[in-house]
Amino acid sequence: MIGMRLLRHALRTEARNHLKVVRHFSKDSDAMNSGVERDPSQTFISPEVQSLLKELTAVNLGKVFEIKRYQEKLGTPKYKFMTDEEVEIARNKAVQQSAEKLQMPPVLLARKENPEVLARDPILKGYDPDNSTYVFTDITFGKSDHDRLIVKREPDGTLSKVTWEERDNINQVYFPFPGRKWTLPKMFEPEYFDDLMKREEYVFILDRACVQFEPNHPKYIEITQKTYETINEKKSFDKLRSTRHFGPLAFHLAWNKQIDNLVLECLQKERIDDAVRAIQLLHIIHQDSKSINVQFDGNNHMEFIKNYTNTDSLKQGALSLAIETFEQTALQRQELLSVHNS
Amino acid sequence: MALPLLRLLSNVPNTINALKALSPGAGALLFKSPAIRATLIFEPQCRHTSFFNKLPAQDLWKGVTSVSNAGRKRGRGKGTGKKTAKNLNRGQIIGVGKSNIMWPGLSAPILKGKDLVKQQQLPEDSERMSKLIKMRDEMSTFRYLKLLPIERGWSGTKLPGRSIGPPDPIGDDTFEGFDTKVLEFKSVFHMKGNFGRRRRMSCLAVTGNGKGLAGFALAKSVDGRSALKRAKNRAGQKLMYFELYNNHTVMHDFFAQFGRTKIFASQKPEGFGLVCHRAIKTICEVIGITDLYAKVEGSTNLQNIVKAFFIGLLKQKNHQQMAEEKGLHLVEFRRECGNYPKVVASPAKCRSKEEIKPNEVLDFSQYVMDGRVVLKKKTFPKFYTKLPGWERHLKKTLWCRNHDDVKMRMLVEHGEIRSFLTDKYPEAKPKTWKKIREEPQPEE
Repeated sequence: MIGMRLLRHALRTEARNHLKVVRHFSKDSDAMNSGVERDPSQTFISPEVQSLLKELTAVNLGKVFEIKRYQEKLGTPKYKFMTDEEVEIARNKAVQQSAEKLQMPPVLLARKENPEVLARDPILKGYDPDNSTYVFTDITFGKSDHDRLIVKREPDGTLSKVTWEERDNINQVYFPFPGRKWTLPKMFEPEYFDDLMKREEYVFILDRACVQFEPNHPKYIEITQKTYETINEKKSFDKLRSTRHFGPLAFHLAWNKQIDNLVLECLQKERIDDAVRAIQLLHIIHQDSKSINVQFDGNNHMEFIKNYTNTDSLKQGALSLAIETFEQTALQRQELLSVHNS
Repeated sequence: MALPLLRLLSNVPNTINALKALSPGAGALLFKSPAIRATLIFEPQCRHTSFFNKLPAQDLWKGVTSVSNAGRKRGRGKGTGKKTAKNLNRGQIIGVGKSNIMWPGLSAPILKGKDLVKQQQLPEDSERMSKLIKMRDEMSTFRYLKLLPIERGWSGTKLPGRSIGPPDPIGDDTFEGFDTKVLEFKSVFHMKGNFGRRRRMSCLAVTGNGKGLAGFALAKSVDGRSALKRAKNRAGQKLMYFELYNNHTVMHDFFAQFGRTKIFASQKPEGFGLVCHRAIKTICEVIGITDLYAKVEGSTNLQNIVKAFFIGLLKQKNHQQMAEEKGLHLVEFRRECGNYPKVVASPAKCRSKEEIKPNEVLDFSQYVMDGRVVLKKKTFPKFYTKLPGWERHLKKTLWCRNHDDVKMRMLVEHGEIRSFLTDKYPEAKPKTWKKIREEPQPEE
């Protein structure tokens, strides 16, 4: 959980090295033409997107604090008699604790290996008879794993900064991250990954990916994107609700204009607010979408969704059917309630 | 036993006859000589008929195996100590005997092809007698029941701890899913004015369906089987329902007492098992409790333990009942859930802080144990940690303290245990330290 520091640093360094990339995130159509990948990080970080994603995760505290199956030893529960106020205080404290559990892993571009060369001293060639590379690490307390100075002197005399891959390994030597393995865990290999997808163990693999990789690691991005695609296919969004992974999932779907299944599922479960939020997210990310003409003003849920269905969606039939079903059931419910009350 | 004696008796007159045959005049001499008269058994009483030949086998056996009235009162002559009559005709066929003679028409065919078979004596079978004796010796041993380990009770082939099936159905009630287990099976005596000491079998059985319904009963009868049946059926009549926490353990810790028997029971998590007295274990099995710790203190009278445990279970309170009684929310905290406050029961109207008296017991464990506090005995360090060699041992084993984890990791990642030398020399495979290691025999 690297938090905002990495993200800010990443943005700064990216800005320094790839000016074009940072600018191309919303209105510029040059992004499409230039062939450079659009950077999702700044959009992801923006307050509007963050608030939408937080609301979309639909936090249910009970599910956040569920017993994880891979717990080792169980203990007996402890009981307390509490008044209303005490329960309220305890619950607020739990909400604060849940903030850490619900911290979303940032969506970044894959890092590029381009280590800076600091010096070239060909005179040092042949210094070491074994031809080994020397790595010098700054292990001062307080330096972050991302920032600390790690340089290597290669056998041909070049002094350069280490690659990202090497940086991960060196940090693991001096400051091991608990749960991180040296070699790629078998779970991420295609054979076992597919099996996990079949078993619908999404939270399991996403948690492991968060532990094993940094968010800008190409393997992390690959794994998470594959998982999100599988979830989208199987429409099992409920598995990620109330976890930290729902935000990035929704963001990924909106980024790739694939929110149809999500909207459909929300309509079927009568989560109209969530359906609206998903469409709003799409509008923020893709300012050039057709359905942006109708704005959500707090009351026109069905109108807003219908507009999206008729313009931008690729599953018009299914969505309109779902809208109809929802409206009918809402009507029936109203009638029953009025009969009951009278 | 009678057979060798007969043989001995028969031998003596034979020696006298043999002596007489050797020298006809010797017989008179023999009798007149005082030395010989002293050594020979003087005209032994050789009877060729006795009760042995006159009485039928049944009466003979009755004389050997019967038990007196006094003995019967003491319970002799029944069960394992009973002497059984042996059928000596077993293993013997009419026509086959000690002198192996072939009897055509009886033990052999009359015609063999076209020739008549003659009655002839075949060579004696020396092993016949020993075979018969061996068979007769084995006849008396009691054939022990073959019990599968899963069917065994608390000890050996004894009944306590063993299952005796569900209670007998009454009309439409078929007691489906019920299983009865015996807790106590013993012979008890009582004195009657006219009969004196009378023996009966007493059986304490507990029955349950593994889902919270259970009942126990005591029944006595003259014979064991009917006592078991009575106890089983009576237990089926006296069923009680107990609510379980998550279907695996008791609702909360409790203390219960019956007579001088005290039980301290604690709720335990899944996978803990039943760590308690075997009787309590059996009762939990039939109720459906799979995890429990129970400490029995004071008297360990089995019937009292059973009664105390049932009393404790009956006095248990539901979460909702506790919340109503206290007028406060009952909140569950679990370490595995990050100590999230889960409200399991709420009263109809919750009291406020002002309404709670200052000296009221709000602590859940105190409330549940009725004010009692379980004594937690001090655990002292093991004796060997104080010995001088302990420090040496710790220093010696420090270098390989993570070897088990490393071994596991290597097997997962590489499939074998290797070191930096194994890269260069594949045969250099490190092995975990063993005090005595068997050297593999060199294959030739």
